[in-house]
Amino acid sequence: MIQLFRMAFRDLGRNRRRTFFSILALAMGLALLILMASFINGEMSSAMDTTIKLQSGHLQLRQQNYDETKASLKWENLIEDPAQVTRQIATLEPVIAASARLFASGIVASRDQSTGVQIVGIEPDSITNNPYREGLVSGEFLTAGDRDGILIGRPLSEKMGLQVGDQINLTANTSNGDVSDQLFTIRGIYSTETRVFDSAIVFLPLEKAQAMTGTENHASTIFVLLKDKDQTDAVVNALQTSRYKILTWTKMNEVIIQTENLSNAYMSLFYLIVLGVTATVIINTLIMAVFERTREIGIFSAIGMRSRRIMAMFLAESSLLAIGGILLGLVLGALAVAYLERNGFYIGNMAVGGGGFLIRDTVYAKFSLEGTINVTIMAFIVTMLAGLYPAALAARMEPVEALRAEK
Amino acid sequence: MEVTKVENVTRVYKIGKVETNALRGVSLSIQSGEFTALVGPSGSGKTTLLQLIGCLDQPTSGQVYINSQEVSKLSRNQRADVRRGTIGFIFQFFALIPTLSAYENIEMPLLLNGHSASERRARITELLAAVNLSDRANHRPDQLSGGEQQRVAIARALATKPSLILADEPTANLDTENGKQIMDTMTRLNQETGITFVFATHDPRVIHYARRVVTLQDGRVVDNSLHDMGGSDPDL
Amino acid sequence: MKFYFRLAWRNLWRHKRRTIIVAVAMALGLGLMMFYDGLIAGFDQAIYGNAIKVLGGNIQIHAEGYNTELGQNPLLPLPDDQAVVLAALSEPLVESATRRIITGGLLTSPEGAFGVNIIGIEPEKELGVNLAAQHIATGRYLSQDDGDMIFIGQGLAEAMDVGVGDRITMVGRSTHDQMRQRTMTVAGMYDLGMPEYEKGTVYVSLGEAQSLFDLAGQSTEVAVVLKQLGTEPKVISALEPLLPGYEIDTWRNNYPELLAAITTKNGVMNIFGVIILLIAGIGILNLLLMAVYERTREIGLLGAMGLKPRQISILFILEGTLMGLVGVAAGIAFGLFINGLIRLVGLDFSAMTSATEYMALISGRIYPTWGLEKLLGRALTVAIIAALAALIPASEAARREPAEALHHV
Repeated sequence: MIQLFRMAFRDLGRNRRRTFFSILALAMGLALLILMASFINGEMSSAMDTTIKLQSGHLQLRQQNYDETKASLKWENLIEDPAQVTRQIATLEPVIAASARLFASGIVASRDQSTGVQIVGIEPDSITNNPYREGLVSGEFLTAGDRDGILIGRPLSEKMGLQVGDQINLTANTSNGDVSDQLFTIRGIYSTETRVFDSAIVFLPLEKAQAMTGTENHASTIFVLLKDKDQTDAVVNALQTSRYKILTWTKMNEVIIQTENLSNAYMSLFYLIVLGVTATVIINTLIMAVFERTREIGIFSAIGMRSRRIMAMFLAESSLLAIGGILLGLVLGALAVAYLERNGFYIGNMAVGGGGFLIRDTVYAKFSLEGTINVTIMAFIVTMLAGLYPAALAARMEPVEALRAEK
Repeated sequence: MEVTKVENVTRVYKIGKVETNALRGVSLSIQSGEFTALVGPSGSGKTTLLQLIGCLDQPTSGQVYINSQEVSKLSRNQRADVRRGTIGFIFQFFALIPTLSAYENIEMPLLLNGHSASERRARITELLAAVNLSDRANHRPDQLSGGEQQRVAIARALATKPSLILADEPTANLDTENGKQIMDTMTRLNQETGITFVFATHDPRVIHYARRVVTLQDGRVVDNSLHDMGGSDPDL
Repeated sequence: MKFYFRLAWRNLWRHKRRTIIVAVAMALGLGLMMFYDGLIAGFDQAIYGNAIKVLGGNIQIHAEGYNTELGQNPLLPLPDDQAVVLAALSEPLVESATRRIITGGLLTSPEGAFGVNIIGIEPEKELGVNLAAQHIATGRYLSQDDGDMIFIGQGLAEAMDVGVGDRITMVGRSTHDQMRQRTMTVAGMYDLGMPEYEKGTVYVSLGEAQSLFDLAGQSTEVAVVLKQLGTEPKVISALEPLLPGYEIDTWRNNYPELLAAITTKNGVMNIFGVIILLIAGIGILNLLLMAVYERTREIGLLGAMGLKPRQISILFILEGTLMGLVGVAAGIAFGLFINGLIRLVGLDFSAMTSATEYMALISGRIYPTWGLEKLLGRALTVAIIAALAALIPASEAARREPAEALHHV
């Protein structure tokens, strides 16, 4: 056995350029696969993180019969005394912050243009609203007691030609089915670089939103951020209550998770193509090598070597190639991903994410252990299989034909 | 004792649509200890006959016996088994494995036959001495001269103490001096060990050493007689 | 020169095995790369194609001055909308061209008032391309003669708490910025799994919009849907000369971030594609260099036949180039075959995930394009590698004496 591999090693050394190029091709193939896997992982995890920060949070607490699409403002659908609920939640260790929010539909009108918006009443001082605070492009953030200030998104400001300091008329649906409207001054313009969000959402201080819609001391949801995604289940158990329903980020973002499954399915096709190209070059190189060594095979046969052993010899060589290529590929892949994890790819943002998921404009590759293991195993299996046919070819040569061959 | 016998063998090659009759009914018997040359012009079938005796090839019709065992219908692997312990080969192009040293080349058949490491070492040392290459044991073929390579080939052929050694044009790629040396070596080994040697050759120097000469022409034996060893040296 | 060609060609086929091995490697490599390119374009169409339809189609044609008017959706009628439709439909890359009237307005119900975009459409003509029409939740889609019927999103219906058959008040901005009001009956509701979109867009029949907004017999937009995403520039340059004076717009201008997302994603995939090409290139180079020993003997033979070193070099380069061409031809054939085959049946991914249930936007079937997008660059690379790889043994060994080369075994 050792003899086999020793000879295989020396045979590979006989043609250093050829062996190097073969290993390089395989290594590049594997590195590319690792890169692809990390790229997809980075995209999805970035989308997930963004959505958690901006939209779903890790958890949300709502009244049992609250329906998000309706955005009802009837008291029976809202959470009563949200401040107390928020305080209770905040005492749990894994919780970074919890804040109350109110959702209502409205219409923004300015000059003679109007557009439908979603009004979100927030507690300006809560950390949970930092993405919006940090996303200010002009003006200032809201303060809790502001009675006529509003925060609008950049796309909306561009569409309607509005600037900080301009006045707009906001009409909101109220809890008893009426509408109420009022003039507001634009305090600030924000951008989360996710168009579908920024163009539809305007922010008011929670108290003002409650006042305007007739929902004092009520909130549509309690938005909760945790230190770590993985602690979600523990917190859910701690908060168990029959009064409210608790939505977790996985439940709220099923769309993203399903999309991730779809993306992985798509990517598998591309993996196959990369493997196909790599396998092709390797198998053809091996076949040509076998034919090149026809006479040598004849000699082995002449001194009495059985077919199986001849096959084993060639398989040993292709195994060494496979191992060398895989190892080099892992190194190259790790380097490439490390570089991209830091510097990232810049892409624009998706205006329509369907079902409401958001992708930020810079996508980072994120190393995926599972993905890397998968593609490495695939590459190894494919390379070993690629070695089978040439080895079988060698084994099946008739000694006389082999010896007769021209060198 | 009869080492090998062929009975009425024919060998027909088909290359594309062209059929070639390399052997057209050859019968021959070779006894143990012989030092025999198969001679004839190229195309006469001597190499083909040698290959059939060596189990490298199968006859189109007829039988081949090695040590009274009929080998012509055996499978490729079975024939490999026969070759392994019983037959040694020497080729005109030396046929050494380029990545192995002289020592390792000679070791190959012993490895295949399953000898232990100490058995192998003993045997190889013995063989290297027999062909006067003890100081070249670790050299690779590209570090050896033509004559030295052929001597390694002889040592390898002898490694498993075969009944029969078949040599196809062994001196074709050697100069006169080296050719003589090879033939002297093989003659000495034949006399010392009693191993049967059969050559396919058209080199008069080789024929000169043979005790029996079988002449082939157009795939048939046209002469089969003992060689007049007392004849003069052709180089004079 | 012809002599060289014939000699080179016969040389190729004299070494059939070597030629076939290299040709197969080139064919598989190039073919798979064509499949790769075809898939990327196919994915774009599958993932974004529907989104583009929802956003108003690949191309929008408006009357001159549409984009310069302040505010969105001015009710500027097209001078000759039928002519525009005909011009668009004459382009083979166009799937549909339909007339629309788009304006802003308000819907009210006991639940409140909701700002919406009101789109008047030709229902039958849009049946094949209007995603809302293809995802009816309850009730029915519009028909051409519908008067005061309205087709709204499920999300809006729930927010307004209305159902099929209910009457709601619609106020829309008409020409000269006047507001027109009418009571509409909900004909049906569409469900795209996108509540924000559904809350913002409602459909009425074109005839109804024309009568309500004083646009008898006219329309303000021709919406064009193309068969394959990415062909917009080609179609636009074909249409511009046919439609002077009209403003031709595309989602690529209106939603630059979406375009950026697609092009950057494709940019990343292209980088990957270049790496694949490198892998194939290294492999093919390796294969060709392997034949050096054999060729050294050939060179000896040719020299013995009387050819000069320079002539031998030419011969070898020709042989290499021919080899490259053969490989490329085989590759293109293989690539067209794979893509053609899969275009017939499409790749069905809906089994792998239920994302397609959630999102009407993503089509579960992928149809690759023919894969010709990057073909030129890839084919050239492969062919050039083949030609250059022949240079190495040629230049080196051609300098040797024929005898030496012949002796080289």
